[in-house]
Amino acid sequence: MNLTAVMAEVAQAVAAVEGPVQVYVGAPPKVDPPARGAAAVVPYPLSVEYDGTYGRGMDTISQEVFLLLPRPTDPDVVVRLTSYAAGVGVNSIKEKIEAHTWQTCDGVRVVRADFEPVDYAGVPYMGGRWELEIWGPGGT
Amino acid sequence: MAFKHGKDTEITVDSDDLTDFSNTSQFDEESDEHDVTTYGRDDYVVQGGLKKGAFTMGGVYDDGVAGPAAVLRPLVGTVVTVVRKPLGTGTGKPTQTFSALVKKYTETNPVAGMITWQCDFTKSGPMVPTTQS
Repeated sequence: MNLTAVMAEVAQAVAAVEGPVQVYVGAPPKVDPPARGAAAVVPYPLSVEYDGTYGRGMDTISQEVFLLLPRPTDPDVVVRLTSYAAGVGVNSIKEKIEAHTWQTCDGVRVVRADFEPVDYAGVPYMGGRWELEIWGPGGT
Repeated sequence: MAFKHGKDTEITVDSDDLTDFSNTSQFDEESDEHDVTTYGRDDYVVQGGLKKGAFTMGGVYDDGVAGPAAVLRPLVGTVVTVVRKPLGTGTGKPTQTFSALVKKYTETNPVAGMITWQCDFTKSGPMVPTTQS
């Protein structure tokens, strides 16, 4: 799998979320989320595990997606964040990623999500972190 | 002399290469044991007899036409040729060729993991070891 292409396609899948989401790939120096939405960051993968099968048949990638919601103390942040964290729905990160037809890998599973206030480039946000498991051919 | 890793193993069943879908395999050879102990002995005396063997392989399920389900499930109950290269392909590396009954094919579907498969074979006749040129 081409890690750059996989990261880009994860960003494409996340962009299908309807709640306005501005998607970034890699390590942007700052983010500019929509006022009533979130910034989504697809960072570099956590890890690549090689040799899931003989002959370089399969590798797996551990990948995160971060959502940064501005004005973390606003009362409606809870509603917006939980809509992104829902298992189904127009804003569901899990549903959008797992419904995507993947080209750069064989499949993606959204394993878990957790949440905490974070600072990014000195700006406070309410953050969500989604952990993805990605599998695909290892020899290409 | 050097320790060898299993990741380079290659396996072909009935001329279909299942290497990319496999992540485990085991080849067993054993002999019948005949007790030839006679009076006056303090210990059992045994002699070997007919040899037999078993082969198992397994890995990650693939839904393609060349995948393990498409290849192996139709072969259950038939005797096929298995070619196993425990160290992969290369000059001087070993190849093991044997006929085997495809005895059992199993698929396992965990809720939080990859679908896996396993196939059990019974060796039929001898395993012929060769060295790749």
